[in-house]
Amino acid sequence: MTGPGRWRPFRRVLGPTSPVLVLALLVLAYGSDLPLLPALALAILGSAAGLALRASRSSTLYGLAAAPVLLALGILAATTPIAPLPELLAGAAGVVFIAWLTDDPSRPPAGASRGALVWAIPGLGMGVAWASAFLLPSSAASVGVAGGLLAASLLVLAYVVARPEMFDRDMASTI
Amino acid sequence: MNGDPKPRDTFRWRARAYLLFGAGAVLLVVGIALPNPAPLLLAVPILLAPVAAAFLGPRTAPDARLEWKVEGAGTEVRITGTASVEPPTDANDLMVEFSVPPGLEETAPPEIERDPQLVRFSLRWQARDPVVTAVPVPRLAWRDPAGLVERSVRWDPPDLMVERYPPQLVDIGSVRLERTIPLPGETASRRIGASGEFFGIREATPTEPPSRINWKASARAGRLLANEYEVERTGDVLLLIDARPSSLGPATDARLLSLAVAGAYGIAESFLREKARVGLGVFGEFLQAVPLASGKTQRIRLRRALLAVRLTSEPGPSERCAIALRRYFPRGVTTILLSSLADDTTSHLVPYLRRRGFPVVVLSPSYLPTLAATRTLSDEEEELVARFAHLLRRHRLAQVWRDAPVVDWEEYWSLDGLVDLLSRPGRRGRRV
Repeated sequence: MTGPGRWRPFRRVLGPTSPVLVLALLVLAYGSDLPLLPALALAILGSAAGLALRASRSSTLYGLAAAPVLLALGILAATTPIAPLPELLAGAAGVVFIAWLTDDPSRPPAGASRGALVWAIPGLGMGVAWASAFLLPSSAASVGVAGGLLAASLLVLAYVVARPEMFDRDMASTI
Repeated sequence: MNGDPKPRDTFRWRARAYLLFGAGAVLLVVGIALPNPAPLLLAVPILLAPVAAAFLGPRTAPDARLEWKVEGAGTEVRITGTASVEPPTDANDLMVEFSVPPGLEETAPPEIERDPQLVRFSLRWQARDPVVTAVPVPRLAWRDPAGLVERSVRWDPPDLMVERYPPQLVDIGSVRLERTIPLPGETASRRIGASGEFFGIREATPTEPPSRINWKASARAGRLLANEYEVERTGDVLLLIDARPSSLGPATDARLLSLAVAGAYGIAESFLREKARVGLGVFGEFLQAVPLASGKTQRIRLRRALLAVRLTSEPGPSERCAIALRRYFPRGVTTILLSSLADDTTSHLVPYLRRRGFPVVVLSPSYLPTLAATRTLSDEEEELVARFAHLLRRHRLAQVWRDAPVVDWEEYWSLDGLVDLLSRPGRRGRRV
């Protein structure tokens, strides 16, 4: 086989959402409780590793591209101070991460616009959760509300994952 | 479309979705444990995205249609086609995956173009040796843009065959073969009528039209005889493939068997075009036979049987093959044995066939080119090994020549030797 090389073209890998993801990680790092340099290093390392794995033509490496970004996002979110704006930034970074997933270099371009619902619906959900938490007076209460919402959504998700056939609509037996 | 029930794997979560579910669950635990709402807010989009992706695209397995064809000639194999689904779906989200069948090599990556609702593809493969193989049906599925969920399609694409065999086999059907039935007209003809040429005489049926009765022959025989018009039927030929393992090892055996299958397919195609009756025997541990017949149905039978030919793990005794052949095929049918003649076991088949009344012509795919392809020794050693191998091969062929003419198939893309041999009546398989 005359393969086209081990790496995808850089321009294709970068895509329109990658700069936004890097920016979101850097802003989240800047706002986290971690010392600035380690936080920025973590953000840069996570995004660089994600982009590098995405550039690989190996399907195994390519499949792992989301993991380092998720790890960096998780660590930075866990060290984010309890305040409305940093919390919003953490949620927004999650939405950007989903949009980055839709902008897949192995697929036809404009994935982020084709799959707008995949990141817009979670973005809406995150906005509702943040707004409800922000409007409540106590940070402990916001944790409780968000945790309750998440626990409920996890239960729904567990049900959905166990029954993938519920997304299949049966064919009508008559016209 | 065959209207099959819904496939079982219609909808499935992909590995990336499970990664997001796991990460979301961990973030939930971390957020509760710290306590900090930021991980929880990060978890919301991560957990919701796969569910949102599941609601995109078709809600049931869409019906897909594939139109494809094989192009190219000689060693070049080019497959082009289009795939689409009904109801129309954005072709950018349709994933098509191809696999290269054994015996073919990919020379260039697949070219895939997407129209709004149509996927066009072009595959470039190469046949190293003559080969007959079915092209595996490509995998087609709808996948969301984030790669989180996948939904397979329902389709029943038409079979596609890659048939590459030496060009000389196209003309081999013109060779006159021996008939093995006393009255050729006994067999139902495919072209009977006033426009055909006289072929033979057979017993007339009660509903025989008067124009077809041979009145002179009927007067001589004292019973009604009818003319049979079928110029194309030249006789009968049996193709016998030796699918037993030899001392060459599984890889070389498989390659030579693939050659034998391609050769048998080319010979069968050519003779069937000339309306000859063609039968097939595949001998591994036991004999699998397709009895003599002609016509399109026989072509399909033979193709199916040839595609199913596999190397057996246990070799059957040669005598078993000869005895079993007599159950399916009459004595005297011209038999083309395709065998590597790599060792004594395979060579011993020829005398057994002769004793049972089958005039044999051996077409033997040579293993010498395969040895040359796997160089592991120095040049001098390699040359010495090659000389010994040539001598051994010539010695074995000479031994087999005592019982039957042998065509040494060393140049895989040429079979002039077989056509020459079959065209010379005196050199055809010796009568017993």
